[in-house]
Amino acid sequence: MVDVILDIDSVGDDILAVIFGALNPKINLLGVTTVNGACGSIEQAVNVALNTVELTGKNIPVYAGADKMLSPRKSDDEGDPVNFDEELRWKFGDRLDKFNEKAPTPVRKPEPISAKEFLIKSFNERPGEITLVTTGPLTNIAQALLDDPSIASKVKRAYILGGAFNIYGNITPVTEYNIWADPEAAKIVLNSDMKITLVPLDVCENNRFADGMLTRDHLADLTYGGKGKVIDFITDKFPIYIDLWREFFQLGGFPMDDVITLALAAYPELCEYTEEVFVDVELEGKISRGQTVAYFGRQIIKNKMREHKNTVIAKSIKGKEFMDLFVNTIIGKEV
Amino acid sequence: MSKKIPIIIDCDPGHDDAMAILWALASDKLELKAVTTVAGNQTIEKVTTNAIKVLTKARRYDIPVAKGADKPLIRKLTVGGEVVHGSSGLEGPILPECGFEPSNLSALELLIKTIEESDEKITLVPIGPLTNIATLLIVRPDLKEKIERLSIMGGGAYMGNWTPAAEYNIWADPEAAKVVFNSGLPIIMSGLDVTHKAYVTREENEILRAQGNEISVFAAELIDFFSKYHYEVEGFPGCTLHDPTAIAALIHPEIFTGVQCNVDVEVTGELTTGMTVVDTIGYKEKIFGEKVDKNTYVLFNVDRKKYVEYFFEAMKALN
Repeated sequence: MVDVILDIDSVGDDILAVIFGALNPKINLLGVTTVNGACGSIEQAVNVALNTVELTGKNIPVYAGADKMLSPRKSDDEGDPVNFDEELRWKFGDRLDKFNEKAPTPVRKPEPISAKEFLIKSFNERPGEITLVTTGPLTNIAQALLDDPSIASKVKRAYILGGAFNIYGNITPVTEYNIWADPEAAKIVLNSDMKITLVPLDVCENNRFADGMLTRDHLADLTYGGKGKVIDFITDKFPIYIDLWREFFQLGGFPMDDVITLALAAYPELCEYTEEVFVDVELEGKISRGQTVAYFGRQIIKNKMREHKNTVIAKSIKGKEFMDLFVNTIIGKEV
Repeated sequence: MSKKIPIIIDCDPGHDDAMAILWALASDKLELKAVTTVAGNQTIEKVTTNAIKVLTKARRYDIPVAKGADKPLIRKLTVGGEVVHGSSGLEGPILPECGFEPSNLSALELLIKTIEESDEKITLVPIGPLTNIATLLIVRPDLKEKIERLSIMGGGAYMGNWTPAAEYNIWADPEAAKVVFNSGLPIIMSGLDVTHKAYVTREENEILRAQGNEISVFAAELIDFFSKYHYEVEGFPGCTLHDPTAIAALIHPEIFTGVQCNVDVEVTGELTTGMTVVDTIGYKEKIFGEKVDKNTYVLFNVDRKKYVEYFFEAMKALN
């Protein structure tokens, strides 16, 4: 059993990650902390998290986190991703409403302390025992580190969904959304003493590993494999996600970035990793702000500052094994 | 036979620059009109001497060589090749004395003159920092209509060799590269994505040497020296022929695959300056609704066996 705090921004695969974490027998979710990111507001992030926990029937506390990035971008820097909705709307029509739809008012309530306070308290109370998994922008984690830098070495290991190295990004050609959304926060976390496993788009949103993506076949497996609210929910909500990612990003299915990242906390053998390296984040670049840069030392310019080696990067994944694990966890088959 | 493509090579020899020049000379599809030099792998004096010596080695005293920019547009010169190319910029094989003098014209003047005097559009093959080419496009934008396209060695979509994000030729003069990529001219980009796949193994290099003619032996000796860095520091399976790829892309386009897309150059990054931002998916348009020019055909893959075979044939053809 791995004790995990999961930090999410509550869209799509974040929801599946909460469900997976709640139902998987090797994962003990101590709490779900929320951050504004892809979902659009912290209220939405919290409400989706609460509703998802309610759906699983488990009693997992939810904490509200940051509503604003450490350094909010100016909209004239790179433009706004407004075109996204317009272009998709004419293709998918009202079906698009199931993508990030406004969460109904939850039955459950968030905890009285903030995500940041919960993170600081938890890692101080049980140093070296709790695994951190992040699937959204790193704002909460950076804020916790700014308030109490000592927690960096008290995190057992952080599994972070973020970055892109040998493949194109998913928000700009060279950046992955979570890092792009709050690059200052990502820089603070990656430059800290935390032991990090970085899970980049290279293993999640890469057709080389299409066998690790969610398809309608998997939805059929869920329908035939079991019954219940969770399965009804997934099979109702996720066809549009599969279609969107196939159409827009030309992927073989819906990429399971956040679920993969959480699964690695309990099943690290699903991936192969690089050696420990230093990974930094570009902040100043006009067209590459938010890019992750890994220092393997294979380039001509050497930099002593880059010898802070705290991060391993996932470089391949056993996709089918992962999807089997996901489906079996959801239908309650032994995993 | 179809007409030859008239080209000008703008370079900073450099082992791979030398092999690019030799391949161009050997090809019956290309007509090398001039060679211009730019500071990069070594200082402008050294690379100009090297260009002349390579042409001397091939007994092509007829091809004019003109000395170009001694430093990047704005930044100071960081010589790239000390580690890779040695102190002369072309260490390894014994080179002949210079068989002729450099042109009285500057690289810029020779570029302008050659383009103006040509009846046909000229293809530019820049395989060093893009200082001379950017200068040309800034001072004589009218000549763009007499430029067919550019076949550039530089950049990389997902990798660098000078920094983790940037390839040397672009990194050395990123402002110049930005001017060139945004010039509106059609570009073929041979970046590290493809050049790292265009390598010659140790065993293959012995086949090249065993071809026996003077130029094959010379090329094999260039590879002997140039490959040391590739094996020892970069851990590659062979010697990567970066610059010759920009020539091969013109002679044997059928052995390459790539993507037509927008490429821009980062000039303000703290960690990423000099990287080519390659928008293969078309994000700028898809997500931000920004119309962009698909200015570049970015090469990603090559049939390596054919590449090596064609290169060896070319070296054998030179006598």
